[in-house]
Amino acid sequence: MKQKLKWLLILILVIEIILFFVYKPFFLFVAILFAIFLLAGMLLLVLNALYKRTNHWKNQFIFEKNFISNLGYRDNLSRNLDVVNLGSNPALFGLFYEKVRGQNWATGSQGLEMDFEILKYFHSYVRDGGIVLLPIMPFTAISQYIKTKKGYWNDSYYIKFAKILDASQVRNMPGGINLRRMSKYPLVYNPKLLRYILVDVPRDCRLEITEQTMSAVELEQDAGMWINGWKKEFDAVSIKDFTHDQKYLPYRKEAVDIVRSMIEYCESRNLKPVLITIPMSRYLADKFDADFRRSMIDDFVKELGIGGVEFLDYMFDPGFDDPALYNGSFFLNLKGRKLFSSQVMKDLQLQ
Amino acid sequence: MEKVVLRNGVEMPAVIMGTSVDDRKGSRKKLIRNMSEAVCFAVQHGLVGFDTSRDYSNEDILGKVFSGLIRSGDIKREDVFITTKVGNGQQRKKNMAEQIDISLRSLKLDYIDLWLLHWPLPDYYLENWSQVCEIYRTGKVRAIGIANCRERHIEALEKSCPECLPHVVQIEYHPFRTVPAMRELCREKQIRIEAYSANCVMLPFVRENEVLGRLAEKYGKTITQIMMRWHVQQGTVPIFSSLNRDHILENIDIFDFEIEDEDMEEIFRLNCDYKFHPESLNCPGY
Repeated sequence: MKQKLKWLLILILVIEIILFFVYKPFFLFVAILFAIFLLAGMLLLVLNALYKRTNHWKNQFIFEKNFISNLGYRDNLSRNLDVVNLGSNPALFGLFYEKVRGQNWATGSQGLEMDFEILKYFHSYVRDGGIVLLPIMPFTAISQYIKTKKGYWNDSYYIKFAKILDASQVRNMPGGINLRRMSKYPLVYNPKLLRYILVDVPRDCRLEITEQTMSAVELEQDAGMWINGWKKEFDAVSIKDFTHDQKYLPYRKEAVDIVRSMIEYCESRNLKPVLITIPMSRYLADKFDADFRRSMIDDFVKELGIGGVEFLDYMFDPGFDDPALYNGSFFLNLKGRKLFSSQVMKDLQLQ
Repeated sequence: MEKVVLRNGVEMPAVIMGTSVDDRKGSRKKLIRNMSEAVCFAVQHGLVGFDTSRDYSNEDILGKVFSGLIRSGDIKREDVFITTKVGNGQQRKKNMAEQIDISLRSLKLDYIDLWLLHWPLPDYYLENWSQVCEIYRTGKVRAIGIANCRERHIEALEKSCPECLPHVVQIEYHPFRTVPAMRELCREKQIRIEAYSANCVMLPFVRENEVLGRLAEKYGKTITQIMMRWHVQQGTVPIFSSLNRDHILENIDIFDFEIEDEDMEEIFRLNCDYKFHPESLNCPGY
């Protein structure tokens, strides 16, 4: 394809030169126009390459090294993982594999459908009988509701998956194959990003933080901020709405179907699915009443009808509610992550 | 060259030469010349089994090579055994009858010796398999099979088309991945296993393996030859991919010795289910 394009450009150039001498004024104009377009295109490509070197771009893909695609597996010979996890931000910040062959397949914001797509594409890296941790977050039960919210699962959400998944999967995502082009030429699709070439954002080093960086007052505020964010995200007025509002029911059923399908998928491939919840600090845990905990976690797991599937529930585990293990009220810091993961590995008898 | 007999009586060479050589950046003329020379060399040395696929983008090159060799009288069509596969992109079209005709035209052949579905592509392979079975009955292909499958796929095929099971499955199979359950199922159903990456692409841990090194010394052969012989001796058909003359000779010079039973078992014990090609990367939902 590139070869053909090269020859086509050369042909156009030759024709232009010949015609220039035959009919000078008009073709001089066309030639100048052509040159301007060519230069503008080249400039855009250079700027696009520069943007892709910024932290603003790279911060969106810090997880990428964990995903060896069809292009890279010949140079990355690691196989037969004992354990992997899917999940959203809490899992990204919650699980850390050392002394065990494991990989964290959480990418940040990651809904159940993308969990399943990642599992479908990368599961051959897991050994026969290996464990797939399927995290259940506080709002997993109704997370499919986010599909109704414009601007949440938008192009920038899907682009990160388009970068790691197969083209056949990307085609079926909202935005389709365009997402791949967007990930290659982000600046062409969104020229506003140009500003980050001039003024970049700091590198995202949240995964490296080993301590709590907030005071007690800030933690209280942070927990409140999370709750308010979720209320906005799910169009709820109070915490009670999450468990009582009928509008979530179809989305809850959808979530049950997807998790169930993932469990069946694992089992039919001789992988061991394990449901897991990730802990949160007591500042945030205190915001969820008993009703919420029962409906969103216990009842949801019952609805899955998982039979013999193991369920490790640490969400409100007092052993991990110490704020010193977190950075903010929700995400474990590196120290907390190691401590928590070590407990999980012991419970899975991998250590 | 020794042969194995498939369930339907078709004879298949005991060693196959793969043509999936990564030379797409080189010029096409050079690739045709190299391929042509390698195939001629192989044929001259008794190697008559060749494996390609639509997804290797070289069916037409091989077509030129084979038609040239047949025209010049160097080989007869019936002397060579040609395998090709239908890829995922083509499977999505669900028109196997058209796909076989495209392959026949590209390869400039009247029939294919072995035709495989390249992957058990979810949502497609069962329907396509029933079409493949129909085509088999027309005689355009002498044997059929499926590559990269596991027990669950064979079981699904058996359920959907009980009267038409694969004659061959082509899977990654080598001393470090011996898939015992799959082997047992294939033995039970009389399905021949064809092994790609038969020498585990000679990864560093293979080259440095103590058992294989010791056996190579014992039998006065190379590690690759020990592995190729191990395949042939158990009845699996190994595929090697190289256009290099020395490598071609190395891979077929395996019929003048026999590995003792205990040594065969020792090689089997190397199994650690190591997959060089993680299947799901080529076939999401695998």
